Amino acid sequence: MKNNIYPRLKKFMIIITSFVIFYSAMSFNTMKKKECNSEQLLSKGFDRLKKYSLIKGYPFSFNEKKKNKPVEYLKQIVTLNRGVKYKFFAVPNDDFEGQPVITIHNNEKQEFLLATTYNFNFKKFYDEINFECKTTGNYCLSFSFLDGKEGCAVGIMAFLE
Amino acid sequence: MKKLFLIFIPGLLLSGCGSSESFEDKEILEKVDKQASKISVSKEVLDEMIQTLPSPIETANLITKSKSSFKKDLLIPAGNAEKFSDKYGQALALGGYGVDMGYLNLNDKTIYIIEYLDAIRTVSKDLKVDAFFNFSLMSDLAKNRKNVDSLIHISTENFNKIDEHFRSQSRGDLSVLILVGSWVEGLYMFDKIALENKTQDIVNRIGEQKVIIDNMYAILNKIEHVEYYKQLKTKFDALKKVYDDVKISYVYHEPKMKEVNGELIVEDNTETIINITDEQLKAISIEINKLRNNLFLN
Repeated sequence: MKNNIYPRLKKFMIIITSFVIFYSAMSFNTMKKKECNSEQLLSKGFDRLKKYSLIKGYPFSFNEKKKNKPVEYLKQIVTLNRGVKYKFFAVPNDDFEGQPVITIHNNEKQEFLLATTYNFNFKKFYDEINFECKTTGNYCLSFSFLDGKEGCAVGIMAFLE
Repeated sequence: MKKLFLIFIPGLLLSGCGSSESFEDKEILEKVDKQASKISVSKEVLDEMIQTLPSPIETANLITKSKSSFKKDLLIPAGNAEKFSDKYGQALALGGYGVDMGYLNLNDKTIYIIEYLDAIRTVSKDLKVDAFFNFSLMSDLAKNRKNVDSLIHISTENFNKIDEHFRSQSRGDLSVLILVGSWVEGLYMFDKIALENKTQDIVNRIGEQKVIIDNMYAILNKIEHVEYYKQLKTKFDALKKVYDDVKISYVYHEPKMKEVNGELIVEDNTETIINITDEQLKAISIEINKLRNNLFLN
């Protein structure tokens, strides 16, 4: 009887160790997948600027929204200048499901929607917004992920020299 | 859809004019420094508010777009860089020199860039942010006019990094000062351009700076419990008072949109009506000259 215990215990230990290794590897992969490095995304965004000059990069990341909760978003008031062409786009981390959406409203109160990278009526994404500003003033940018999916991205704001 | 909405910003009865107190009083500085570390505004609020002030390169871009002829005497003398003895003055000067540098770059005046790089090096060294500039690379780039675009990119990137650095150190107030300095230098340049060639465009450009001075005041209001910022706000009072009487109204029209190669091109059609009188322009001119002299030339 005693002789039979050791092979069984050995087998049991192998199974346990395998589980530990498997789950450790899984959780390591998950952590790796969830890494949200805004520096790298900003650098990618910089490469897309061409004749435009970067004004600011806005890193944003959200967990998946819970049921019956509104979609989370990053709100940022910026001042845009008349006569300047601005470019807005988002660089997403593709490891995450969330597809970034940028919207521009006319003021802090968000009275009028001026532009968005996602057209909800046609369910269509635009790569970027080129915005020709006619009025110097405060505008409201918002950064979110479509349907409140978990996501990681950097919003880029640039102007044409 | 058309909607008229007017902005009425109540006139603030602010008294007092620009203070002439020197920043060189060490005792005051030490006191100010201790207080500055106690800025009670949350980092998030300050971060958000900072975005409502234009960056030095944006300001320089607007000046260059005004298509006025280049004038070196509009710039803060590069030799003044050593006169800024505390980090507040240095941060303001960094913003001012940032606009000057952008103005030189955008006008392809590489011949003067080296001396302004030296000025930026001096103030940034005292501010302990010189590590964010690669001065030897920038000096090399400045030797060739073809490199102007690269210089602009690098300068913008450097200013963004400095801004991030200050904010990460909970010294977003110094980022505010950089932007305040660049705005003062920008408005001074607009004023000088208007004196030489007063087009409606440049008059409107000066008038619409009301938006920025209101944003700036909103920030200074948040941090005026620190003595230095209280004094700085007082220096802006006279200019703010003039701007309170400038009226801006907006008429909203639907923007025009079209899609080109996956990009959405949006043409904003909002009309802006700026009511600014000749007297107000003169008063702005007097006040911005006083303010600039006080911040950069004394």
